[in-house]
Amino acid sequence: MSRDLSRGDVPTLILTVLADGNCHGYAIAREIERKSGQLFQMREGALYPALRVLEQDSFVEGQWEVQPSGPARKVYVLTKAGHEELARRKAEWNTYVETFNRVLGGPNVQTT
Amino acid sequence: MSRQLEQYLNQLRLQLKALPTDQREAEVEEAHQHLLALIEHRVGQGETHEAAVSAAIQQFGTPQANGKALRKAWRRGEPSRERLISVLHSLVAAGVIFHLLVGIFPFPPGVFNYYPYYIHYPYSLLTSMFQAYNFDTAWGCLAQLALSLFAAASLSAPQKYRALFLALLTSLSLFKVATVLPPGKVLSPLAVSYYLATQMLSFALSSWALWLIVKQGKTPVRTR
Repeated sequence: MSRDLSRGDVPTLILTVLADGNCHGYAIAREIERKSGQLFQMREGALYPALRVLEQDSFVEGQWEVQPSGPARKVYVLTKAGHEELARRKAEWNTYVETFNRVLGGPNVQTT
Repeated sequence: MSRQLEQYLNQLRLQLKALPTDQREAEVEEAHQHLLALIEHRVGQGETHEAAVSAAIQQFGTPQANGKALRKAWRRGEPSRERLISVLHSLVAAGVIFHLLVGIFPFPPGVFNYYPYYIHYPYSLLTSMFQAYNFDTAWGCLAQLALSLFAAASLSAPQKYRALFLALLTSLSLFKVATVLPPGKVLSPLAVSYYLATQMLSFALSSWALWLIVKQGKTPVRTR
C-alpha cells in the first residue's frame, strides 16, 4: 500500500520531522519517507508552500546557511510556538483516530 | 546545469512573476538545491544523469502546480481582495453621499455652489439648476451619481459581464473628464480640485480593474 499525502497532512508531518532536529527541505522529504517506511508518496514541491505557511504562522523559522562545500541551503527550525502547535495537532489526530476506530468497532471500542 | 533543469527553473520563475524579486529568486534557489540533491541521489543509485534529471523533476512536481501553490501561500498573508473591494465600495458610497450633499445641501456661493446658480442661494445647487431651467447640467449631476453607483455595481457584477461593465465605465469616465469643465462655468478652486480628483480616481480605478482582467486573467473580486 502507498498513500498520497493530502495537503492537510503535510504541515503536521513537517512539524514532526523538525521536532527531531533542524533540516532543509530535501532532508524533510527523505525523513518523512523514511519514517513512513516509504509508504507516503508526495509531490516534493508541495513541501515548500506548506513551509511558507508554517513560517508565516511563526511555527518554523528558515535560515540560509552556507555549507562548507557547495551553495547555501535554507535550514528550517521548529519554534516554541511550533512545538505547541505540534502537540495540539497530535492530540487532535489521536482523538480523530480513536473516534474513527470506535465507529469501525476497532481496538478502542468502549463497551458499556 | 542541464538544459532540462534550467528550463524547469525558468518555468517556475515565470510562474512566480507576481512575487517580489527577492522572494521569487529565493524560491527558485531552494527548488534548485532540492532538485540537485534528488539528481545526485538518483545518479548515486546508478541512473544516467539525463534520466535522473527527468525523474527528479517528475518527483518534484510541475512548475505550474508548484508555482500556483507557492503564490497562494505567499498571498495568504496579504489583505484579501474582498477587503480591498469593501474599501472601494466604501469610497464609492462616500462619493455618492458627498454628491447628494453637494446637490441637496445649500452651500454658500463659491464653495460648491457656482455661477450662475449661487444667485438662487439659499436654494441647493440641484434645485437652482432646475429653477434656472438648466436641465442638462442638473441631469448631468444625476448622471454622475448614477456613474458612481455603476462603478460599485461593476466591481460585484457576475464574472462574465465584469469586463463589459468596466469597459463601459472607463468610456463614461473619459467622457466625463472631457466634459466636466465646459467654458463659461465659474467654479471655486475647491470645486475644480474635487471634480478633477474624482474623475481621475474613477478613471484610475477602472483602468486598474481592466488591466487585471485583460493582462493577468484575474478579476478584482473572487466569485464565491
